[in-house]
Amino acid sequence: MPWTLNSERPIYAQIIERIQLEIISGHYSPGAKIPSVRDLASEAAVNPNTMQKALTELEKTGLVSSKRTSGRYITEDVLMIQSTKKKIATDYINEFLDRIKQLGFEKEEIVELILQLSREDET
Amino acid sequence: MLAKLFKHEWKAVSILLLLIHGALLVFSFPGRIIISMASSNTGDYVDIIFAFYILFYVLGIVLVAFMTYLYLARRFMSNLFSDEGYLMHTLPVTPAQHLWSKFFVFVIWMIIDLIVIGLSLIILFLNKETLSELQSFMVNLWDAFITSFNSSPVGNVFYWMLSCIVSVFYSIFSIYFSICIGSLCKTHKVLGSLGTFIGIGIVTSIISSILMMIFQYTTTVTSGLSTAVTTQVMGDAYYLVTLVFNLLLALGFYFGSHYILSKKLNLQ
Amino acid sequence: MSPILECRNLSKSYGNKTALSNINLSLERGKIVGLLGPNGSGKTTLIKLINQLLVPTAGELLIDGKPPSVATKKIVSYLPERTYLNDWMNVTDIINFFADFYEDFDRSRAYDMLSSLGIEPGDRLKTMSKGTKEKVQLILVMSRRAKLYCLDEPIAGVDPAARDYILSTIINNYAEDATLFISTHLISDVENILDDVIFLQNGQITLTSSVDEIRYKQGKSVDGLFREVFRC
Repeated sequence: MPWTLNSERPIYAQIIERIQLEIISGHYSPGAKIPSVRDLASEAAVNPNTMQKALTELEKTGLVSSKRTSGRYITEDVLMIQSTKKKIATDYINEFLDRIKQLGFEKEEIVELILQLSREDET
Repeated sequence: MLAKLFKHEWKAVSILLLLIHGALLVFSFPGRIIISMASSNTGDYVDIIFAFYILFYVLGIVLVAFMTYLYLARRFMSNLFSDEGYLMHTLPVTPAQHLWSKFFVFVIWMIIDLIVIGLSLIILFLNKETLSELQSFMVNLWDAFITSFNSSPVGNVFYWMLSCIVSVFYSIFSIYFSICIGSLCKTHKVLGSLGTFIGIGIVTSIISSILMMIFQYTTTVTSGLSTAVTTQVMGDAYYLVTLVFNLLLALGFYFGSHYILSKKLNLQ
Repeated sequence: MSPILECRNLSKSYGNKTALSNINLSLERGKIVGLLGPNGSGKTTLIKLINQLLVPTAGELLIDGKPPSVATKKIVSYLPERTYLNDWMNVTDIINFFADFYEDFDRSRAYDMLSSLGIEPGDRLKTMSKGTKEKVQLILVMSRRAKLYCLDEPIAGVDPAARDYILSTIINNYAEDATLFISTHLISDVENILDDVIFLQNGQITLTSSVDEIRYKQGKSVDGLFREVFRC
């Protein structure tokens, strides 16, 4: 299935995000080998050049490293993965807080609402 | 590349042509029986069958020859100027190779057509009695060939051979040229091709007649009879001029077709 | 590396009607480029010029540094809008045909793609639906290891499921470092696979850009930009 991609933003940025999510969520284990550029591009239904660009950017962040002939591997640095996870979670939360503040909630009200909803979720 | 084009062209057209020529040959066999029956028996019944058979047979020969030419002409048009043209013209071959590969297939089928007609006639008519008549016919034919003009027999044979070759080029390339010109018409391309072909025929007939008038002269020929007979005879120059004229036209048709295929192609 | 395609002041007119005027463009190797424009903008004319199905009225066109000729036809693989396959052939015949004339034709790749569609070597083209014939044509074109693929409206008139198939066949099979030149007016379906786009309007180039630049700088999709630029 082609990945769902938004046409209004550069594709490579969206690919980077998706692969980061897959690394964080454990879909790709630390140290695992990821498929070749062509295979990934085929799966995502994108231009191999774009996939290449995304992977190169990921290499720069250190989440992915490439070994000359054998391909690309996820980093084994679990701490880096954790810190990336935390950063993305922080971004999501800040986004959420911005939006909910537009509704006029105060900070305490927000926290109370979240706790209430998570209690209901457990039952 | 030329060989490949030829092979592909051959495969594409030969099935149908083999069928109709085969059918003609097969159709000749009952004819032999009918003819021998007709010559030995007399009676309205046999004569009617015989008459019908001859009618259909002659129609058959004309139809087979006509269909062969028409089919190959149509093949040229559809292969190079219809949607198939998108495939053919993007192959790594030159327009000249396209023209020649189709030309050679056409020539071979023209020859096969003649051979099949000849064989068919032999099947119909050849037996011990007719053999001697055939031989004397061939001798007369040969004499006519070698005495067409005043010069040496060798010259005559050479002339007629050359004339045949030029006429083959002329007829095939005039068809191809007409189709190429037709392709330039925005609408009614087929009409354009037919019109060009007929137009060429008309113009060349006119020129031919003019040439005849220029080159003929009257001589008196004394035959075995006492009275002298005056006839119009063609001068030697006529034959030469006609040959050159046809050759130039054939070349013109080839180069014209080549030019249109290279520079004026416009597939829809 | 030199560009695979260069056009310099390229123009084509028919009588007093101008189809293309003063086209200047340069295609790099290894890129997937979209030639986008409304119907009648000259897209097909440009592609026909590249394939020597038309000759220019003015200007020049170079493929791999050479003008269109037998040599360039060997490295350009062309998918026209029409079906050009002759009905009397079967699948084996047409594959042999391509293999015969094109040295860069990859038979096994073609057979693999065909069998994944359930098409047998003995199948006659006459019995195939229009959609199937179009796919066969696409497979033949993409099985060539060419340097430039010219695809003229590959997904026009095709249902959405077939579109996905066609686009994935295109991405998965083009030769390494080859350039894909795709002309289309169905932009939203195709823009996710394009590196660069060229907008063509009334025979002239009005925009050349990379897709990322359009999305990044203008915050819209190529389709969105196209609708703005070509607003009626």
